[in-house]
Amino acid sequence: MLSNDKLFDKGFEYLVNKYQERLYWHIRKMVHFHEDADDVIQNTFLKVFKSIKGFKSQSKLYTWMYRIATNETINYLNKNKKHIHQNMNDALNEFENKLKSDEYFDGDKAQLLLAKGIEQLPAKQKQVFIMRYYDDLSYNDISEILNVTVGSLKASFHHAMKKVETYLKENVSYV
Amino acid sequence: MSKDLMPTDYFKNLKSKILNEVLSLEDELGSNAPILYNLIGKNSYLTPNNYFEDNLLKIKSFKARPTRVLYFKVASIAAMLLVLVTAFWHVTNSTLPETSLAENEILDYYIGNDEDIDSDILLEISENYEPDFDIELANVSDEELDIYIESILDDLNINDFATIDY
Repeated sequence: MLSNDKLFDKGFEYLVNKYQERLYWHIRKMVHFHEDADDVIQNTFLKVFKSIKGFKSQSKLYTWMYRIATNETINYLNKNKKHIHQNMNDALNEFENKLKSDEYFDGDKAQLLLAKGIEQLPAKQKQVFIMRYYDDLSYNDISEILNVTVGSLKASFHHAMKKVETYLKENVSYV
Repeated sequence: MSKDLMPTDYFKNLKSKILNEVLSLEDELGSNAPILYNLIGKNSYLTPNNYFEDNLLKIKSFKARPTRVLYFKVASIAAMLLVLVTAFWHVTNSTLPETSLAENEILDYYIGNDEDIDSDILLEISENYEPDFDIELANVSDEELDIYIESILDDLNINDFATIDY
């Protein structure tokens, strides 16, 4: 459908309809805030729109789109990194206050703590953790998206899981 | 290794190998991360009402209004405005008294006092103005656009436009 000029519009619309929610939530869990996720999803589909004709079917369409969404998210986060020299605690407190006052966040204390626990992860572990924990993607799919071996992904997820769980345990009295 | 041979305990390990492949998230978290396990599937993030329906319309409008091209056009208009004001100054500076003002100070004056600009002269300049670029947007790559826009913006001082009342 997408390779046929006449059907391209319909095909693209179908793609957006089918994948926008899934990609949005993937992005949202990485960036946390709706406005940011909205920017990234627009950029993602703009990129998909511009490059879909070059898609080679060597990977699954949705893993290809996930890869674009992930790269766009990372670029966005890097571009908007404001407090490079800020220590982790200050950064997490600032993040917590922003999330608490966000009209599109409706989590309880446990959810807030979980978001903070994920936020403190190194970027790579955060990606893997979100894809596995929230998106419930298989290791094979994550491997295709991130171009990382399954073994390495399992190790990353295991470390991330331990770190987040420890963070939750340490702060469980606040829950 | 001969094709008749296989690794030791191949069949014994096969079951656990396959099970490992289909290990679910719940299994994986299991007793390792009970708190995380209890929080699975709870979504605390919201979106505005009808966000995904509206988003579909927004995304469908890409063909009509690609972001980068819009940005390019804004930068081009800003550049054109600067050229027009500069050209206006060149056309009219013979009528100005001898001063020690620098070129950019005179330009600042016109930008800050656009009511002093004779609209007939400006119109004449704009009719004769031929931009020194002729770019077919559809054939321009993102990188080329970035370089072009940066070259325009490098030449502009955004403060110069801050006082213009559009």
